[in-house]
Amino acid sequence: MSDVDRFEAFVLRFQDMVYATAFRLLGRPADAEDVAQTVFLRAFERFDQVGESPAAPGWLKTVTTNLCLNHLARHRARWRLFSEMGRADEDGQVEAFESTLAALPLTDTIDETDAQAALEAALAALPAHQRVPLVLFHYEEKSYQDIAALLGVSLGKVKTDIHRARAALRRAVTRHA
Amino acid sequence: MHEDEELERFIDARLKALPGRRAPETLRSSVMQAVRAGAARPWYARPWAAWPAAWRASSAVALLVAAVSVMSMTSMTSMPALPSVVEPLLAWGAWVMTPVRDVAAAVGTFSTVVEVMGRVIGQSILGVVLGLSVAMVAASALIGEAIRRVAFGETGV
Repeated sequence: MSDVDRFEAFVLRFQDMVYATAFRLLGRPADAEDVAQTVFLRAFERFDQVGESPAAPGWLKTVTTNLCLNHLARHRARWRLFSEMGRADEDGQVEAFESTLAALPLTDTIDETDAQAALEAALAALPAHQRVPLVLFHYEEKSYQDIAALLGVSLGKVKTDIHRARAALRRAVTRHA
Repeated sequence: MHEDEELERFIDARLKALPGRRAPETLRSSVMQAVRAGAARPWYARPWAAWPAAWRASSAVALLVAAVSVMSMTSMTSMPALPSVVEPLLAWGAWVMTPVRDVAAAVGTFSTVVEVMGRVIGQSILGVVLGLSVAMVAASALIGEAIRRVAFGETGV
Protein backbone atom coordinates (compact mmCIF):
# COMPACT_ATOMS: atom_id res chain seq x y z
CA MET A 1 0.00 0.00 0.00
CA SER A 2 1.54 3.31 -1.09
CA ASP A 3 1.67 6.46 1.03
CA VAL A 4 -1.06 8.01 -1.12
CA ASP A 5 -3.33 4.99 -0.61
CA ARG A 6 -2.71 5.02 3.14
CA PHE A 7 -3.46 8.73 3.18
CA GLU A 8 -6.73 8.21 1.34
CA ALA A 9 -7.80 5.78 4.05
CA PHE A 10 -6.76 8.40 6.62
CA VAL A 11 -8.93 11.03 4.90
CA LEU A 12 -11.91 8.66 4.79
CA ARG A 13 -11.53 7.97 8.49
CA PHE A 14 -11.34 11.59 9.67
CA GLN A 15 -13.08 13.68 7.02
CA ASP A 16 -16.44 13.83 8.84
CA MET A 17 -14.83 14.93 12.08
CA VAL A 18 -12.72 17.63 10.42
CA TYR A 19 -15.58 18.90 8.29
CA ALA A 20 -18.05 18.93 11.19
CA THR A 21 -15.60 20.89 13.36
CA ALA A 22 -15.02 23.43 10.60
CA PHE A 23 -18.72 23.74 9.82
CA ARG A 24 -19.67 24.37 13.44
CA LEU A 25 -17.10 27.15 13.72
CA LEU A 26 -17.70 28.78 10.34
CA GLY A 27 -21.39 28.08 9.78
CA ARG A 28 -20.95 27.88 5.99
CA PRO A 29 -20.55 24.61 4.05
CA ALA A 30 -18.28 26.01 1.33
CA ASP A 31 -15.90 27.65 3.82
CA ALA A 32 -15.87 24.48 5.93
CA GLU A 33 -14.92 22.39 2.90
CA ASP A 34 -12.10 24.78 1.96
CA VAL A 35 -10.68 24.67 5.47
CA ALA A 36 -11.04 20.88 5.68
CA GLN A 37 -9.11 20.49 2.43
CA THR A 38 -6.29 22.69 3.74
CA VAL A 39 -6.20 20.69 6.98
CA PHE A 40 -5.75 17.42 5.09
CA LEU A 41 -3.07 18.84 2.81
CA ARG A 42 -1.14 19.90 5.91
CA ALA A 43 -1.67 16.45 7.36
CA PHE A 44 -0.20 14.91 4.20
CA GLU A 45 2.94 17.03 4.58
CA ARG A 46 3.43 15.53 8.04
CA PHE A 47 1.91 12.15 7.32
CA ASP A 48 5.06 10.38 8.57
CA GLN A 49 4.41 11.73 12.06
CA VAL A 50 0.61 12.11 12.03
CA GLY A 51 -0.49 9.05 10.06
CA GLU A 52 -0.21 6.33 12.67
CA SER A 53 -0.21 8.54 15.74
CA PRO A 54 -2.95 8.14 18.34
CA ALA A 55 -2.80 11.94 18.68
CA ALA A 56 -3.96 12.38 15.08
CA PRO A 57 -7.59 13.33 15.94
CA GLY A 58 -6.41 15.94 18.44
CA TRP A 59 -3.86 17.30 15.97
CA LEU A 60 -6.51 17.52 13.25
CA LYS A 61 -8.97 19.30 15.57
CA THR A 62 -6.36 21.82 16.69
CA VAL A 63 -5.27 22.60 13.14
CA THR A 64 -8.90 22.86 12.02
CA THR A 65 -9.75 25.25 14.84
CA ASN A 66 -6.73 27.45 14.15
CA LEU A 67 -7.40 27.56 10.43
CA CYS A 68 -11.05 28.45 11.04
CA LEU A 69 -10.07 31.31 13.34
CA ASN A 70 -7.56 32.51 10.74
CA HIS A 71 -10.26 32.26 8.09
CA LEU A 72 -12.68 34.33 10.16
CA ALA A 73 -10.02 36.88 10.98
CA ARG A 74 -8.96 37.18 7.37
CA HIS A 75 -12.39 37.52 5.85
CA ARG A 76 -14.05 39.71 8.43
CA ALA A 77 -11.73 42.07 10.27
CA ARG A 78 -11.09 40.40 13.60
CA TRP A 79 -11.35 43.55 15.66
CA ARG A 80 -14.92 44.01 14.48
CA LEU A 81 -15.83 40.39 15.15
CA PHE A 82 -14.32 39.87 18.53
CA SER A 83 -13.81 43.23 20.14
CA GLU A 84 -16.22 45.22 22.19
CA MET A 85 -16.14 47.89 19.45
CA GLY A 86 -18.08 45.91 16.87
CA ARG A 87 -21.55 47.00 17.91
CA ALA A 88 -22.88 47.83 14.44
CA ASP A 89 -21.61 44.57 12.98
CA GLU A 90 -23.07 42.60 15.88
CA ASP A 91 -26.46 44.24 15.42
CA GLY A 92 -26.50 43.22 11.77
CA GLN A 93 -25.65 39.62 12.60
CA VAL A 94 -28.25 39.47 15.36
CA GLU A 95 -30.86 40.69 12.88
CA ALA A 96 -29.81 37.93 10.48
CA PHE A 97 -30.22 35.40 13.29
CA GLU A 98 -33.70 36.71 14.11
CA SER A 99 -34.79 36.39 10.47
CA THR A 100 -33.44 32.82 10.35
CA LEU A 101 -35.35 32.03 13.52
CA ALA A 102 -38.54 33.48 12.07
CA ALA A 103 -38.11 31.38 8.91
CA LEU A 104 -37.94 28.09 10.81
CA PRO A 105 -41.10 25.98 10.32
CA LEU A 106 -43.57 26.40 13.16
CA THR A 107 -45.67 23.27 13.68
CA ASP A 108 -48.09 22.16 16.38
CA THR A 109 -46.44 18.82 16.86
CA ILE A 110 -42.69 18.94 16.82
CA ASP A 111 -40.58 15.82 16.92
CA GLU A 112 -36.95 15.44 17.88
CA THR A 113 -35.76 15.65 14.29
CA ASP A 114 -37.44 19.03 13.81
CA ALA A 115 -35.95 20.30 17.03
CA GLN A 116 -32.49 19.18 15.95
CA ALA A 117 -32.90 20.79 12.56
CA ALA A 118 -34.04 24.02 14.21
CA LEU A 119 -31.05 23.93 16.57
CA GLU A 120 -28.59 23.28 13.72
CA ALA A 121 -30.02 26.13 11.66
CA ALA A 122 -29.96 28.45 14.64
CA LEU A 123 -26.37 27.51 15.49
CA ALA A 124 -25.22 28.21 11.95
CA ALA A 125 -27.09 31.53 11.93
CA LEU A 126 -25.63 32.80 15.19
CA PRO A 127 -23.31 35.80 14.85
CA ALA A 128 -19.71 34.55 14.63
CA HIS A 129 -18.70 36.32 17.82
CA GLN A 130 -21.29 34.21 19.68
CA ARG A 131 -21.04 30.96 17.69
CA VAL A 132 -17.25 30.59 17.87
CA PRO A 133 -16.87 30.80 21.68
CA LEU A 134 -20.00 28.65 22.15
CA VAL A 135 -18.62 25.91 19.89
CA LEU A 136 -15.18 26.07 21.51
CA PHE A 137 -16.82 25.69 24.94
CA HIS A 138 -19.33 22.94 24.23
CA TYR A 139 -17.62 20.89 21.52
CA GLU A 140 -13.90 21.54 22.02
CA GLU A 141 -14.19 21.46 25.84
CA LYS A 142 -12.19 24.66 26.25
CA SER A 143 -12.46 26.80 29.36
CA TYR A 144 -13.66 30.42 29.33
CA GLN A 145 -10.09 31.53 30.02
CA ASP A 146 -8.69 29.48 27.15
CA ILE A 147 -11.30 30.87 24.78
CA ALA A 148 -10.59 34.43 25.85
CA ALA A 149 -6.88 33.88 25.26
CA LEU A 150 -7.48 32.17 21.93
CA LEU A 151 -9.73 34.93 20.61
CA GLY A 152 -7.82 37.77 22.24
CA VAL A 153 -10.84 39.22 24.06
CA SER A 154 -11.78 39.77 27.68
CA LEU A 155 -13.13 36.99 29.89
CA GLY A 156 -16.31 39.00 30.48
CA LYS A 157 -16.93 39.33 26.75
CA VAL A 158 -16.57 35.56 26.28
CA LYS A 159 -19.01 34.81 29.09
CA THR A 160 -21.54 37.34 27.83
CA ASP A 161 -21.37 36.11 24.23
CA ILE A 162 -21.73 32.47 25.23
CA HIS A 163 -24.65 33.28 27.51
CA ARG A 164 -26.43 35.22 24.74
CA ALA A 165 -25.77 32.39 22.29
CA ARG A 166 -27.26 29.81 24.66
CA ALA A 167 -30.31 31.97 25.27
CA ALA A 168 -30.81 32.41 21.52
CA LEU A 169 -30.50 28.67 20.90
CA ARG A 170 -32.96 27.88 23.66
CA ARG A 171 -35.47 30.22 22.02
CA ALA A 172 -34.93 28.43 18.72
CA VAL A 173 -35.54 25.03 20.29
CA THR A 174 -38.46 25.91 22.55
CA ARG A 175 -40.40 28.38 20.43
CA HIS A 176 -42.61 25.56 19.19
CA ALA A 177 -43.72 24.58 22.66
CA MET B 1 -26.53 31.63 38.80
CA HIS B 2 -28.55 28.43 39.13
CA GLU B 3 -30.53 29.43 36.04
CA ASP B 4 -27.29 29.95 34.08
CA GLU B 5 -26.04 26.49 34.98
CA GLU B 6 -29.35 24.99 33.99
CA LEU B 7 -29.20 26.76 30.64
CA GLU B 8 -25.62 25.57 30.14
CA ARG B 9 -26.59 21.95 30.81
CA PHE B 10 -29.67 22.20 28.59
CA ILE B 11 -27.76 23.59 25.61
CA ASP B 12 -24.80 21.26 26.16
CA ALA B 13 -27.08 18.20 26.05
CA ARG B 14 -28.93 19.50 23.00
CA LEU B 15 -25.76 20.35 21.08
CA LYS B 16 -24.09 17.03 21.82
CA ALA B 17 -27.22 15.17 20.74
CA LEU B 18 -26.97 16.70 17.26
CA PRO B 19 -25.99 14.16 14.64
CA GLY B 20 -22.49 14.70 13.26
CA ARG B 21 -22.45 16.48 9.95
CA ARG B 22 -21.06 14.35 7.15
CA ALA B 23 -18.37 15.65 4.85
CA PRO B 24 -19.48 16.28 1.26
CA GLU B 25 -18.50 13.72 -1.38
CA THR B 26 -16.33 16.30 -3.10
CA LEU B 27 -13.99 16.74 -0.13
CA ARG B 28 -12.12 13.44 -0.44
CA SER B 29 -11.80 13.68 -4.21
CA SER B 30 -10.51 17.25 -4.14
CA VAL B 31 -8.01 16.43 -1.38
CA MET B 32 -6.72 13.34 -3.19
CA GLN B 33 -6.51 15.20 -6.48
CA ALA B 34 -4.34 17.86 -4.84
CA VAL B 35 -2.24 15.19 -3.09
CA ARG B 36 -1.64 13.25 -6.32
CA ALA B 37 -0.72 16.47 -8.14
CA GLY B 38 1.73 17.25 -5.35
CA ALA B 39 3.15 13.72 -5.33
CA ALA B 40 3.89 14.03 -9.05
CA ARG B 41 6.17 17.01 -8.38
CA PRO B 42 9.92 16.39 -7.84
CA TRP B 43 10.96 16.32 -4.21
CA TYR B 44 12.74 19.67 -4.33
CA ALA B 45 9.57 21.43 -5.52
CA ARG B 46 7.65 20.29 -2.44
CA PRO B 47 7.60 21.99 0.98
CA TRP B 48 10.80 21.45 2.98
CA ALA B 49 8.95 19.27 5.52
CA ALA B 50 8.08 16.85 2.70
CA TRP B 51 11.68 16.45 1.46
CA PRO B 52 13.39 13.08 1.94
CA ALA B 53 15.05 12.83 5.36
CA ALA B 54 18.59 12.74 3.89
CA TRP B 55 18.02 15.95 1.95
CA ARG B 56 16.43 17.62 4.92
CA ALA B 57 19.49 16.74 7.02
CA SER B 58 21.89 17.85 4.27
CA SER B 59 20.13 21.16 3.79
CA ALA B 60 20.11 21.78 7.54
CA VAL B 61 23.88 21.14 7.69
CA ALA B 62 24.44 23.41 4.68
CA LEU B 63 22.41 26.13 6.35
CA LEU B 64 24.46 25.73 9.53
CA VAL B 65 27.73 25.95 7.59
CA ALA B 66 26.49 29.06 5.81
CA ALA B 67 25.50 30.65 9.10
CA VAL B 68 28.88 29.81 10.64
CA SER B 69 30.66 31.22 7.60
CA VAL B 70 28.73 34.47 7.83
CA MET B 71 29.53 34.69 11.53
CA SER B 72 33.21 34.13 10.76
CA MET B 73 33.24 36.81 8.09
CA THR B 74 31.65 39.33 10.38
CA SER B 75 34.29 38.74 13.06
CA MET B 76 31.94 37.27 15.61
CA THR B 77 34.41 34.57 16.58
CA SER B 78 35.28 36.39 19.79
CA MET B 79 31.81 36.04 21.29
CA PRO B 80 32.08 35.00 24.92
CA ALA B 81 30.79 31.76 26.41
CA LEU B 82 30.31 29.85 23.17
CA PRO B 83 29.61 26.13 23.55
CA SER B 84 32.65 23.95 22.95
CA VAL B 85 31.04 22.44 19.81
CA VAL B 86 30.61 25.81 18.15
CA GLU B 87 34.20 27.05 18.59
CA PRO B 88 35.85 24.46 16.30
CA LEU B 89 33.09 25.09 13.77
CA LEU B 90 33.79 28.80 13.84
CA ALA B 91 37.54 28.16 13.55
CA TRP B 92 36.93 25.87 10.59
CA GLY B 93 34.61 28.45 9.06
CA ALA B 94 37.28 31.15 9.47
CA TRP B 95 39.92 28.85 7.87
CA VAL B 96 37.60 28.14 4.92
CA MET B 97 36.56 31.74 4.53
CA THR B 98 40.05 33.36 4.67
CA PRO B 99 40.89 32.83 0.97
CA VAL B 100 37.33 33.77 0.05
CA ARG B 101 37.69 36.96 2.05
CA ASP B 102 41.05 37.75 0.37
CA VAL B 103 39.59 37.23 -3.08
CA ALA B 104 36.59 39.37 -2.16
CA ALA B 105 38.92 42.13 -0.94
CA ALA B 106 40.97 41.98 -4.16
CA VAL B 107 37.81 42.11 -6.27
CA GLY B 108 36.60 45.05 -4.19
CA THR B 109 39.88 46.96 -4.71
CA PHE B 110 39.87 46.25 -8.43
CA SER B 111 36.29 47.39 -8.82
CA THR B 112 37.05 50.60 -6.90
CA VAL B 113 40.01 51.36 -9.21
CA VAL B 114 37.87 50.70 -12.27
CA GLU B 115 35.12 52.91 -10.91
CA VAL B 116 37.51 55.83 -10.17
CA MET B 117 39.13 55.52 -13.58
CA GLY B 118 35.75 55.47 -15.20
CA ARG B 119 34.75 58.61 -13.36
CA VAL B 120 37.94 60.45 -14.32
CA ILE B 121 37.73 59.42 -17.94
CA GLY B 122 34.02 60.08 -18.02
CA GLN B 123 34.49 63.58 -16.62
CA SER B 124 37.29 64.27 -19.14
CA ILE B 125 35.19 63.12 -22.06
CA LEU B 126 32.27 65.17 -20.79
CA GLY B 127 34.48 68.30 -20.67
CA VAL B 128 35.78 67.72 -24.18
CA VAL B 129 32.28 67.16 -25.54
CA LEU B 130 31.01 70.26 -23.78
CA GLY B 131 33.92 72.38 -25.12
CA LEU B 132 33.46 71.08 -28.64
CA SER B 133 29.73 71.83 -28.52
CA VAL B 134 30.33 75.43 -27.37
CA ALA B 135 33.00 75.91 -30.05
CA MET B 136 30.74 74.52 -32.78
CA VAL B 137 27.84 76.76 -31.75
CA ALA B 138 30.15 79.81 -31.73
CA ALA B 139 31.63 78.87 -35.12
CA SER B 140 28.15 78.39 -36.60
CA ALA B 141 27.09 81.81 -35.33
CA LEU B 142 30.21 83.45 -36.78
CA ILE B 143 29.81 81.75 -40.16
CA GLY B 144 26.12 82.63 -40.26
CA GLU B 145 26.89 86.28 -39.48
CA ALA B 146 29.62 86.35 -42.19
CA ILE B 147 27.28 84.86 -44.80
CA ARG B 148 24.57 87.35 -43.90
CA ARG B 149 26.97 90.29 -44.33
CA VAL B 150 28.45 89.02 -47.60
CA ALA B 151 25.16 87.89 -49.17
CA PHE B 152 22.77 90.62 -47.97
CA GLY B 153 25.20 93.46 -47.16
CA GLU B 154 23.67 93.81 -43.70
CA THR B 155 25.53 95.02 -40.66
CA GLY B 156 25.26 93.45 -37.26
CA VAL B 157 23.31 95.19 -34.57
